[in-house]
Amino acid sequence: MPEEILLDIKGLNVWYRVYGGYLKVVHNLSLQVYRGERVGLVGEAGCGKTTTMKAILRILPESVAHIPRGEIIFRGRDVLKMNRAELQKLRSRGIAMIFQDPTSALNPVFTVGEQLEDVIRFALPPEERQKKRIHDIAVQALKEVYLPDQERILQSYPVQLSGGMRQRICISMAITTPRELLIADEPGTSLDVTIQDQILRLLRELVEKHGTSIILITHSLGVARQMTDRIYVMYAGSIVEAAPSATLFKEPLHPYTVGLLASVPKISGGGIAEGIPGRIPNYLNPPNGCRFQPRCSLSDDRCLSQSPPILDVGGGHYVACFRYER
Amino acid sequence: MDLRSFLLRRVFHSIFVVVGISIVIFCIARLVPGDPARMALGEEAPDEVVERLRQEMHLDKPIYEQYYYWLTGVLRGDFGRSLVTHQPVLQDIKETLPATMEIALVAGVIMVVLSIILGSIAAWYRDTVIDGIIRVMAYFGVAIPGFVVATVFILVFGYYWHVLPVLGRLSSNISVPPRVTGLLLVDSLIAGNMVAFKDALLHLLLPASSVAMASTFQAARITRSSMVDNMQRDFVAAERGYGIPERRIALRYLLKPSLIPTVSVLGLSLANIIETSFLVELIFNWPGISRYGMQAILSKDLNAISGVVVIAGLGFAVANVIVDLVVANLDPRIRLGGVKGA
Repeated sequence: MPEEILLDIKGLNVWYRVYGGYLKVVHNLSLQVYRGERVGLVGEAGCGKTTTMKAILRILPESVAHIPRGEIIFRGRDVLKMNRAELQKLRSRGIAMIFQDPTSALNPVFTVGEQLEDVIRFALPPEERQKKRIHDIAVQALKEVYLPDQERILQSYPVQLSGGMRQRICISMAITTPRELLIADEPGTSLDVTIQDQILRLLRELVEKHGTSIILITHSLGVARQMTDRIYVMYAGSIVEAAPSATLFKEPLHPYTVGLLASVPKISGGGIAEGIPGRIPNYLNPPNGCRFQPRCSLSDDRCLSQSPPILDVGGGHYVACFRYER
Repeated sequence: MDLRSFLLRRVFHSIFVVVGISIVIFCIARLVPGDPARMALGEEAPDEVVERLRQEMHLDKPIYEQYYYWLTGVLRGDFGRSLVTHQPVLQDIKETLPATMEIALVAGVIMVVLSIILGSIAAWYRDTVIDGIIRVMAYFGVAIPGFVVATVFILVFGYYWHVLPVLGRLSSNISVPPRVTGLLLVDSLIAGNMVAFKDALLHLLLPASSVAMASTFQAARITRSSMVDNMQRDFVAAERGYGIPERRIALRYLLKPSLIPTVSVLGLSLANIIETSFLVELIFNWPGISRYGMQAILSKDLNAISGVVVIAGLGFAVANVIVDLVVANLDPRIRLGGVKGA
């Protein structure tokens, strides 16, 4: 069966304008999502995961964010070249994002109902925007994320609800109308572990029920392993390795992935896991060659001066490292 | 906590504030050197007449006893007699207060409308020329005192251009509408006299603008910064991401949370209105309570001073309760009273 590419990001660069230059955060990033696929995006905090995802929806702060190069092709159309009407359609029908922190993602001075119903209103064609219909969809959306007492919740302000409930509301906003791609930015990370687990299970169920594709951003490898078909490992704004989830855990290739896997604490003991020495580079003046080179124990001169190409090592496994050149 | 108990609590607090103000002003007015009885009667008056007036005013009693007499009078609606106008102070206040209230109300409208519009425009076009122009205007507006603004307004609009009246509340050729509220705008509307309404409004424009100037620009700056702040919040990105149109986000989802600090600051500026009015009323020859109070202070007219200050304090307290209600209405986090979490 020929698989259809839903989202195809090609050589994306995102810079932030700051005093004294540009923060070159996302660097030649490429990523594909096939229809119905569950993709994980893994990387440490500050590596540009959220920036990349916001770029897909064009919701980066326009005054400071700058995209010098790259394409974001969604169903054959470049998102970066869309006009206002097309963007509106993309956001209300095509792609929806679930934000990391449900507390800051909900407007504190409007009721859940006001916000949820507005999302629904603008997703519907103008002739279908009747109050009753919008309200029914809102109630239905809350039922889908297993929130009881929907009428009361619609009249509540975010501050009156628990973190878990707010996260469910954020999810319900993303699924009010059928979408083809969901972007979940570390769902539940700001919540406690049991709630986080419930949220992840809910997401998986919704994705399976509607056949939606999903990009799950996480810094937890365990979550990525459970939830996804394929994983992209991101470091300092670039993809360093991509592979089917099982392959990645069995046979990590990139020194960063190897380090990341080794740094997961194991229940079987052995003390605190080792981290990777060093830290994410300064984006104002990133290394010329491989961005991981300063932290890499296996690097040589070439890594200093040249960016490694993305190499196909077979079986859908890709890695951006000179060591795997034949 | 429901709105009623919220309101009751605020009113309860306000009572303490007003009583406190009255004690402070009562003491200060009496501690300032100078014998009010002598000042009222003049140098020539015989000593025994002055002494009789002192006894009449209980000035020979200890200060706490004086306060007791004064307070029991006030509670019966008797603020005493003014030594200058020889009328009951309450009567004087009734005559002068509406004129000042009219300025305050028009100034309030100018402040609210202009500060929100200017602040929103500056935020929307932030870091552009437009933002820069509003910023410079704001610096001048905040830095220049109200009485200077008033003088310049009189020169420009009244003297050079002759476009706006600069003295008094009404032109002399306009018949005064029958007094109902004392507010000329309202009275002329009740009388259906549109000519008087227009004339009264024109007379109000310059004094009200002078009074409103500083606070307007201060509030505009606050609006701008809180709006710029909110623009970077996740909920705005989320609302855009869920396909809510830009215009609706700006006019609804961004505006409402951004107005909370604006309203609080405008509430504080109400104190400024009363303060700025003193000089502005003098300059525009406006028969308001601030001018009356100023004269009372200069002639050490004890009852008038206390009366004016208590009325001003009362006005301030009422305005604050209204501001609290507006803020509570805008912000559920305040209305619902410190819900845990968040």
